[in-house]
Amino acid sequence: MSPTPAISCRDLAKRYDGLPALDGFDLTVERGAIVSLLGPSGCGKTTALRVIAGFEPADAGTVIVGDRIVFGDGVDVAADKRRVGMVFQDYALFPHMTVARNVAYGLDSRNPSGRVGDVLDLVGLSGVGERMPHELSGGEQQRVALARALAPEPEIVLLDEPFSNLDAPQRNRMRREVRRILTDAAATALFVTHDQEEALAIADTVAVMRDGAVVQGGTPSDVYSRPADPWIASFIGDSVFLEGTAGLGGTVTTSLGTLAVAADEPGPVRVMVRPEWIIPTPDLTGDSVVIDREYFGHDQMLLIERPDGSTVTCRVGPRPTLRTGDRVSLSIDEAVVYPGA
Amino acid sequence: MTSPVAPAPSAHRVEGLPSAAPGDASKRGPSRRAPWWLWVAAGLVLIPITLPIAALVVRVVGASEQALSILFDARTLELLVRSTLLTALVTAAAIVVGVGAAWITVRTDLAGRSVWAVLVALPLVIPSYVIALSFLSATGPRGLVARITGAELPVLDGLAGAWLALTLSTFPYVFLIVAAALRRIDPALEDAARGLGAPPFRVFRTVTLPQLRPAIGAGALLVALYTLSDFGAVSLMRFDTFTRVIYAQYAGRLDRTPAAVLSVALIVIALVIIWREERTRGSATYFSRRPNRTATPRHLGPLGRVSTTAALSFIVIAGLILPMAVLVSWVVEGSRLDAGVPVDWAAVGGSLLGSSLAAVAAMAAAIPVVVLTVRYRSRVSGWLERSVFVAFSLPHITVAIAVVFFSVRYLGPLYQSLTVLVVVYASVFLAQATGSAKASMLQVDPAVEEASRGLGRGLWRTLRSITIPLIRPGLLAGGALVFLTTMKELPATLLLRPTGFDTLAVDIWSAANELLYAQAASSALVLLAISAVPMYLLVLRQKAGSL
Repeated sequence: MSPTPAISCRDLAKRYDGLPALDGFDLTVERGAIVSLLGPSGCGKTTALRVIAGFEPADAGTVIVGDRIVFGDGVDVAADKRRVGMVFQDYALFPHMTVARNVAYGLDSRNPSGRVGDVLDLVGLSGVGERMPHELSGGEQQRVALARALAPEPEIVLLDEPFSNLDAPQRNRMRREVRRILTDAAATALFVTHDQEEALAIADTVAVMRDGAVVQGGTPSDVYSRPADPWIASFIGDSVFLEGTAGLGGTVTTSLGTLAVAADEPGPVRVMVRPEWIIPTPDLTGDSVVIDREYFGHDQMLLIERPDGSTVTCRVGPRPTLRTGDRVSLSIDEAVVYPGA
Repeated sequence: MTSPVAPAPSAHRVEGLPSAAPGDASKRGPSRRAPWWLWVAAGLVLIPITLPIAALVVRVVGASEQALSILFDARTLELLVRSTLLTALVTAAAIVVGVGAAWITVRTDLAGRSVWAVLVALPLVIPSYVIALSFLSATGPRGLVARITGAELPVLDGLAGAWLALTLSTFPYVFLIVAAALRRIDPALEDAARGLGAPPFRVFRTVTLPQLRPAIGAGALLVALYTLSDFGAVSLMRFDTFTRVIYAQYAGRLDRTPAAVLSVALIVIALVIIWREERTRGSATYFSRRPNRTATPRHLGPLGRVSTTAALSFIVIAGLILPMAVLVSWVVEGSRLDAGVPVDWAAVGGSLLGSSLAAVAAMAAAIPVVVLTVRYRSRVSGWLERSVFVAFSLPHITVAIAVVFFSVRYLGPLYQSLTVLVVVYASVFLAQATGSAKASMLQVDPAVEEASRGLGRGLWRTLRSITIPLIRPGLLAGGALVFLTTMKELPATLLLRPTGFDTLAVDIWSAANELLYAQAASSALVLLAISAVPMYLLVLRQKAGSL
């Protein structure tokens, strides 16, 4: 018997003016986990956060925080009674209060000062307690928002696109920093983001959302290397699709050769490969030609033309062993098979 | 100093447009219901006005036979003609003066344009009855001119006097709205017309003017509403319009049904104008996108320079300098010839007390209204905001008549008490407090309130510790406006004040009626001096806000 999850949502539904924002939304977040909720804009992920936090009621479904039903079965616990912390996209710091008063706001007024200092230490902001929010940089405001949410020790902290207001170098630093803080605090966190790189980098578990429902959940590497359907494959990372035919005995034949991967049943299939799963080998008699090259520093993408005129992209290391015009032969390392169209 | 600072209930309608994708709820207000106690509070705010007016209408309908005979009396029809005539004349003159002054100060290279723009708008702070007082007391056999020079000017009263006084005190509405609209017009359109070969006047007539039409319409309706509601100027000028006759009927007759019937008739006319105004206001905001650049000011030749300066000088002299000079001369003249002009301290105290209480009450009442209209947008909260605005726009004398009838019949001991007077002030001027508090509230990110909820504070504590502190500047500015407007209020004060309670406005009015011009002038100067303080604070705040 596993311990009670921090939150669990079952079959949540919510419509705005007739348009579904949540539709059969199921999600469980285990205690101590850092989960990112990843989806394109408009898929309902912010609505999901707001429903969990209690800022909006769902039309149907259940939300359980800890061992308590906070929504569903005629129950609708007010936002202030849910023990759910929230870090808002624009931080939503109280502009008329000092940093310390912001952090102390959610604490019992009895003796907050010790806790405020502890939490500010945790986020690396000791000594700014008497400053006003507008005197801080964006990254510091973010830390204050996180400290304020963590201070009352909520069951879970919800973060709504927490890095979208930071510039790129700050964002990478804060991403690592936030992960460190959450881990140190042994907090449970649920992030919303539309940035797949961010989602994969920060979370223990990624929940991919589409049209108001979670369509796949798993570790970042699961979601990347075993996307549940072609849509998820194209949404997360780069992908190359090939037509193929599944034979008996766990093989699929494609224009790039026969692969040892199992399909559900024989017949036409779609094969998805990541560009780095395609390995080009220099081969003077090879049937494919490098026709273009994009160099990124840490790696490079090659555009390769096949004898039938089609092209594939593959990602290789940064060394310039292959140049435009070189002949190559291709092999495939790994592949995911979907039923054919 | 009334409506331009009032809220535009429909001006924020754009927010209702579907903009965000259905799942992106971050910019949408919470779809939860407002707590019941907010609705109760907001309901209480509306009752002091709606209930008496409803009772007044019931009373008039109940006496329908007598009501009909009063309504279709020849004198009533004559009143209608006079009120309409005055309103039309004032509105037309205010449009000409307001649009002209706006064009000169916004679109030409006249030296000192920004100073002129302030000077031209200043008559707005002088109550219409003070301008009327200055004209009356300067002309005629007992006027200042006759007293000093011996040469008697024909007395400036009746239709001509009311027309002039009301035009001078209302044209700034048109001026301010049209000047703002002129700044927003994209000059590229005018350039395009010029490029197609249209001479300047044709460009103005065919391109500029049509774009200004919503702004002119909005300004004109404000002027019309103000003129129709005005009591002080027409009553001093002895020009019988609805408001003056309603007061005479109320004060001079045992049977008060005629006053009630005429009040209901005036309310209906005012409602038509308010309804029109609300509709125009919506379309006036249609032009509110910001152009990329401002228009190149039109270069004035020597002739243009002289004529525009002369026109603006005339407006400022007639609307500001002359009235002030007359008031000051009366005080000087009075203290020279008579035993001096004492300041009526009782009236000063009454004005300060009434206005302060009204400001505090209006600020408190504004909070539930603003929270409901901004955070819980719905059809009902839209109606709430609209009723606050209608209460503000109705002629005060009709509201006062309704409250008098209601309190005589149902409130017994509260009749003619300070409580009733302050409650009426606060509900009539509530729109000024909500308008400015709403502007502050719209700047408060709802996420800040949600953050407080998420940290375990309930709605009430969030309101107290987050929302109210954040909208305090707007609330205080609204309170200052209510204070200013209450200081100048005349008809409701006349009808509802407790016995022995005096204000500067009442003092000015009764002294002027008794031709005690020196006394009236002294009270008027004190009134303007006291008004200058909150006025100055409001201007300071606006400057700080625009930085």
